[in-house]
Amino acid sequence: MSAFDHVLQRAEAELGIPEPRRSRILLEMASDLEDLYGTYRERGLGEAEARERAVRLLGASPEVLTELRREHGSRMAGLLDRLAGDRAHRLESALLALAAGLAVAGGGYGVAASGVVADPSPWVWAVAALAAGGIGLVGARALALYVRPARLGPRPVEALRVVVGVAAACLTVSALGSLVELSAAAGAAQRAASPPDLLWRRLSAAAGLSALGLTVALLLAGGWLLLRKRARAIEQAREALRDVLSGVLGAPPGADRDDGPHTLSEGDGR
Amino acid sequence: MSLDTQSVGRRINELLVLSSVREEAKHGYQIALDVEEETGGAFELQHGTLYPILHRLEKEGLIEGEWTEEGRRRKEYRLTDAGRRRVGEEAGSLSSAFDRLLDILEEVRRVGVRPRPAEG
Repeated sequence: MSAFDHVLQRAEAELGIPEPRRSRILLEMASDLEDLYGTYRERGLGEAEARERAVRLLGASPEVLTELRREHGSRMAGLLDRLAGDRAHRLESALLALAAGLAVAGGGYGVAASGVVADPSPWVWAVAALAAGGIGLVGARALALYVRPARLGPRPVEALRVVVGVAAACLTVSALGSLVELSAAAGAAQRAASPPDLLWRRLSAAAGLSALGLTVALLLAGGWLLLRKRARAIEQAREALRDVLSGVLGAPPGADRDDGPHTLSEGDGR
Repeated sequence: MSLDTQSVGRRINELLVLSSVREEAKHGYQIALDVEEETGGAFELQHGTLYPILHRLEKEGLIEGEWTEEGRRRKEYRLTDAGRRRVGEEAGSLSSAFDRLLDILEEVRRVGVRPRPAEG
């Protein structure tokens, strides 16, 4: 427990700006409040008066929090904020689904137009479905990390592992599909009655499928790497904030310093 | 030089903050405390108004914020060269405008405000 928990929790609840900026601002406020309180105490003020004066000077009012939101909020968040909560959420989901669909359709069209795979393997659709899911997932995570901090879970880095899982699934499905196509090609080569181009078509389908799976996996891995850097920065900022609020560095007068770490927003879905 | 009266409050706050870090880097709470003390309590950056000012000035490159790790993480601010120039410009602009304002106030104080003549 910190002596200024009530002030900081209100600030945290109302400071809807992207992480890690939000945690850094809260950390700055928390640290300043504790230092100012200490300064007033050194000057001979009583506990209650020192606390009250520190809050009066540095405890952010709703108007100040609004100003900070304006100063630090992203344009996209500002635009979406103008929509009511549910409508904004639906719009964001629709935009993400549209972006994922367009990305996959564009990629598919590109592959088809290139003529590399004239007769694609049916496994391509499974890889395309995984790619759409993966791209949607990366988009949703990017939205939470950059624009919508309230939708971040308590462990942003861990939450990104599912992207790696989808990339691995893409590789696995494309490898399996390629094996099936290669096996079909081997069968065609052994059968004298097979059409002459069947061997080439199956080999081509296997190569196209492998290339698609590898490309999607690499793209998802790239997205994961980019987002992971930001997620890690957010976790570090939260960690630093927890240190200040945990009571180890700034316990309120008379409070038990072994209360264990206090965590803002942990477990509340932020 | 004319002064936009709607922006006077913001400009005074910014000048007080910039002026507070003109000699040395300070943490936010020290700036708020010094503004209050250096102005004899005439100006107070209450209710956290300090933070939007600091962050705006930092964004404009007039001050630099740096996190330090002396026992606990703290952010301290120092004046940049651009900030130093801004202090000089704003001090000149605001003081000449306030000289005019003081003239008016002095006149009002000297002459007084005449009571409104009774009607009828």
